[in-house]
Amino acid sequence: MSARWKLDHSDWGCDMAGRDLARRGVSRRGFMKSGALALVGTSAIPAFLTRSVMAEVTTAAANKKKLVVLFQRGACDGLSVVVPYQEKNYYAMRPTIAIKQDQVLDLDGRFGLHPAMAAFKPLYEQGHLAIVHAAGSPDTTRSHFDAQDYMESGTPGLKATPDGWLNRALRDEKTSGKESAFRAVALGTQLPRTLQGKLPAIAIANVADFSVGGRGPATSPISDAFQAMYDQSSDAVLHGTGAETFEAVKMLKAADPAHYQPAAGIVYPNTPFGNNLKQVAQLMKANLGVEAAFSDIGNWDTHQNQGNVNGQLANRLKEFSESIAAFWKDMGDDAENITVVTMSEFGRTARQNGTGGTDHGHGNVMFVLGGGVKGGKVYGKWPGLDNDQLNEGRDLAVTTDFRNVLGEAAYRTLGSRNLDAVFPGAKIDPRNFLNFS
Amino acid sequence: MAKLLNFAGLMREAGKASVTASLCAVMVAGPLLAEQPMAKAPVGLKLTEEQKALHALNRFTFGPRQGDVAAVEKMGLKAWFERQLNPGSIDDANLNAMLARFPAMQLSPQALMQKFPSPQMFRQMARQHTPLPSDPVENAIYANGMAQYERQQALQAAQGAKKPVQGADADGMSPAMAAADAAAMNDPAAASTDALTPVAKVRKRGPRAAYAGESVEAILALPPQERLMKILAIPPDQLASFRQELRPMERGQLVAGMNPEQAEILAALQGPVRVVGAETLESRLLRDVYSDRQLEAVMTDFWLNHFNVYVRKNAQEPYLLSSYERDTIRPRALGKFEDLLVATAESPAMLMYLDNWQSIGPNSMAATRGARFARFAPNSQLAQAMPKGINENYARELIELHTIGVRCEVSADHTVKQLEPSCGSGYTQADVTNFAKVLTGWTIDRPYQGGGGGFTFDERRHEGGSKQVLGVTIREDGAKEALQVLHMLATSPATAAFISHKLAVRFVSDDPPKAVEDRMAKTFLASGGDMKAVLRTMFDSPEFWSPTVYRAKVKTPLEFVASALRASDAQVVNAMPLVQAMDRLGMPLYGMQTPNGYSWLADEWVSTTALVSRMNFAMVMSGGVLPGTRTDWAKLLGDPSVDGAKAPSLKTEKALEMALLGAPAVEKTTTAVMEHADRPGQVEAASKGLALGPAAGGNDEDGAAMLVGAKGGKKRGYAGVGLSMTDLASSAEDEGPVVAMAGLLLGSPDFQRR
Repeated sequence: MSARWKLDHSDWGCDMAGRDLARRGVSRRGFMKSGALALVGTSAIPAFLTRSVMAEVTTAAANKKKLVVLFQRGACDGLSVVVPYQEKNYYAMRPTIAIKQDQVLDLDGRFGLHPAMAAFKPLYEQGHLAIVHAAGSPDTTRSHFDAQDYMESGTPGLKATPDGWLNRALRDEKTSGKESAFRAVALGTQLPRTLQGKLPAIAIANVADFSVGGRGPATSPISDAFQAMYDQSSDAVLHGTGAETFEAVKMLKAADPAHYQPAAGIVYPNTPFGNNLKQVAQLMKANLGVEAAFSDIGNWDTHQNQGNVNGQLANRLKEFSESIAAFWKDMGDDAENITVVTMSEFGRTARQNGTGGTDHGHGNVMFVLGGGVKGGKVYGKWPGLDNDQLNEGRDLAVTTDFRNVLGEAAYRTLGSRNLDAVFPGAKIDPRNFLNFS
Repeated sequence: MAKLLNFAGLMREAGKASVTASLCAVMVAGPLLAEQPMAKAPVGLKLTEEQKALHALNRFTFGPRQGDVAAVEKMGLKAWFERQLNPGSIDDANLNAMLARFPAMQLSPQALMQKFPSPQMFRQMARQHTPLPSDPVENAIYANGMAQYERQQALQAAQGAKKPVQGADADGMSPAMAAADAAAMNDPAAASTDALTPVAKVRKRGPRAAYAGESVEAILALPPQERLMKILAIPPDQLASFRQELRPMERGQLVAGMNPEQAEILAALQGPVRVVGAETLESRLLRDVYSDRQLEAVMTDFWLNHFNVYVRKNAQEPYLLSSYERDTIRPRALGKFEDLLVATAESPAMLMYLDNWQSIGPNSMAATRGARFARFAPNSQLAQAMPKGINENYARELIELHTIGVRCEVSADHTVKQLEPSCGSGYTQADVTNFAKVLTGWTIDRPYQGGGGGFTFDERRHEGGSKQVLGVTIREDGAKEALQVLHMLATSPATAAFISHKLAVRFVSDDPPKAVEDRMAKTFLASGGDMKAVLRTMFDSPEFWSPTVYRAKVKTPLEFVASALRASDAQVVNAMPLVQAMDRLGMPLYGMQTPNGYSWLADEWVSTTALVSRMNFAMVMSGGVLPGTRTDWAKLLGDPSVDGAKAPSLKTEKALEMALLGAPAVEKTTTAVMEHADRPGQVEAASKGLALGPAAGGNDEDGAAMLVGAKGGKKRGYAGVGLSMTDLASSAEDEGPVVAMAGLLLGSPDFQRR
């Protein structure tokens, strides 16, 4: 509130110049602040500035496409999601958990969707939903946590990578002017590895109550006091996130996304994941400048009694597909600008285990849904499920590097051109894209 | 001004005089230093005795209370630490008195399950037409539970959309039930399957019906035991409307004067499993806040996180957690690692959580018998649900997360050569599979009755023959095979390194100096994994007392909440709102689904949403509008005048800093507090914003629900047991600047570090 504070911004605002690297730290979090915030991260934004920021955001959102990244944590059993129902060995290896030929929702005479994913069928038929089978990581770890880490950092095998692939993809995008605090947003209490990095990204658990010291159109005195503390803090980690926090709070107050209710007839599953996607839609409808959104959905680690047509996995798939379909329909015309891509750290064993479940495997299935997507097709080279075709004799092999899929999504949706920066060392070449979009 | 000089300032001054040698050391450790602004220029300076005491309290306890720093200084650091290392020598009467309100927490899982049956039990009873128990108390609890179960079934049948769940669930519980039930446990406020809600939602005005032959007023006027018996006599189909007809004040009268056992019974009528879930979470939080055996509490928390289990795993897991904490982890928290490892491997909670209880040898007697049965009745539910072979989940996580660590994993693209030396030749997928075979037969006796008989080794499930694990041939020897492998793992240098690193991250810094880790690992190996010895080595390391790690750790949400309560000397009469706040703060207790547990790193906990939640929590707590938690700032500061103060005084602010932070805040924090704490009505605004409506002042039950319920709607909350509602009345009246000052300090950047 006092002039003194504003003077200080010059020495924390611009890490691009590297002046304050030592002070902010070179850790993952330390890198996360950007110069853009310096202008709007003050405790009291002049009205004209707020207006101009909002105006730009609106223009940007109108022109720009949006990428929604969804992570199925726990290793989803892709072989029961998009079922290779012509494979005899599939049924031999899964005596009680296989999805039978006459139960799948046929896609192309080779593959069929799990019947619990009926919500995806029309999207596939309309040509919006593409499927990439036998996708995955070149790294062979069977650790959930390492595999997720590699997939989120986009650098399989390299643990030291400080940031996430999506953060790098956004950084690579050509932008002009100031960027919205909501450019990269994750639904949840924590910022996922995928979005960590230099570019500011925010985590929001609940759009409706993301506010310090009370709702309402104006910030509360408490909020201003906290903002003064965090603005002034020499604690790099807390200071940076604090700045992002207060800017986001202000923008949310102005835009009030919570009042955008789902379009008529659209019902999101009443689950955390359904609720997350509903809120992604609200943020997008409120024109807050969202370019990349992230959400995850857990509970895929079906070691025990995963079920077949019904059961644990079926319930999860129903929620998963119905949430995504609801989001797609809710976005209406704007869905044309949106690309949704899904992933899971690895697949599960081709054979069922001793307890009616499956253990940690390798290759898996990814979904890509979008306005510009050439859907209605199962992409990727199918490696087969004969015993001698299995990875290490036990899992679906990987024929498509997940980075090739994400790279194409980033390239076409966000306009990321420098794929070497997004996926260092992967040698992702647009000429080798699957061309699903 | 000198008095106001803050730590950062002090360190900056001192830093100018630092010697070149230490400067070079800092440059090597550049990123680490840069992460810690409070320690910006302290190099070459040693911590003062006062700072050392504060540092020790910050690391070995859930945060200093008023007067703790002085007490530690008086006792002497080393003596204090040794005392904490030997919790048996510390009287914990205060805590035990507080926990006496949860008598169920003293029960075995089996007794818990008997007294507070699970929804699954009702399902079984309904199927098998089991008669209700004859004991009047149990009879009422079971009758209400059965009625609730039947209502649910009817509801599901009416919805029609729900497909029947067959075969898939060996747990014998539909996922919908499991979900509803689990939701009830961690967020009782959101439990839509509440026994009381489905019937009639409209609270009637006018004359009320009689229940069990008595008017509502007459029932409430009865002495506690008679009142309880009368309520137990109300038929299940009427109990819901009885509750709904109660006026807010009367809900308090319902339990008034009851002893904890009586209150538990009353609560069990609403949902027995919720009593178990709620008390488990509440007592864990209260122990962290109020135990005088703080290091034991800290280490118990560390191991509960290391050997993570998840309350929502299934319908059985909640019944196993209190015993897991009380019998498995806490007694060994400062003991030998191998004892702890074996105890977790033998705990029903872990065997259930990581599925080993179902894993059987593919060539075992059980598998052969199962196959025979399956031939006989191939499509029967039982045949499908019967385990047929190994489940490698536990074997993998035990190696990867509990002992030697995933960095020692060997695969096609991670060769042995690439491993760090402590890994030796690492482990492969074959080691995991073979270890899973070794672990077959390690199971739970009567798992559906609260793990009735506890751990058991079932020879019939065990895979025979010798197995090759980590380069050693394990000869066929029943349960002893696994003990042999557990011994190999517990004494492996890789485990010593892994555990030492994790401890150092918890206690020293996010990126701890290698020297400390190495020293700790050496002690680990030399002492046979003696935690006391390992912690002593850390305590005796100069790196632990280095100014570069002073206040370098960002608090986890649990540390934040517990330290705020401790620093404020808050009185908690109902911990459920706090338990629910943990959800909001992103760290639900026993709520980490995956076996890696919560992170100890700042990165994971500093996010926009996390900060918003912390600031709001700080304000609501300081203003006394967090239901069930009371603060008394005048008492804390020993200064009655602060309550009546109209304007913030610097003296009060400074006193609060010392009380809450244990040391002066940075100057900018002080300035911000002084500039902003003079606006009246701030807490009121905060509570309004947090949807703490007018009811919050007089009705904790609804207040709790509204605080944590995302929608702020009228939901029922679980008020905890053994408490009178009238005890819980909280209000934000007479809010003076001290409330805002305290709240701002608790939400300040300074308070987020330890």
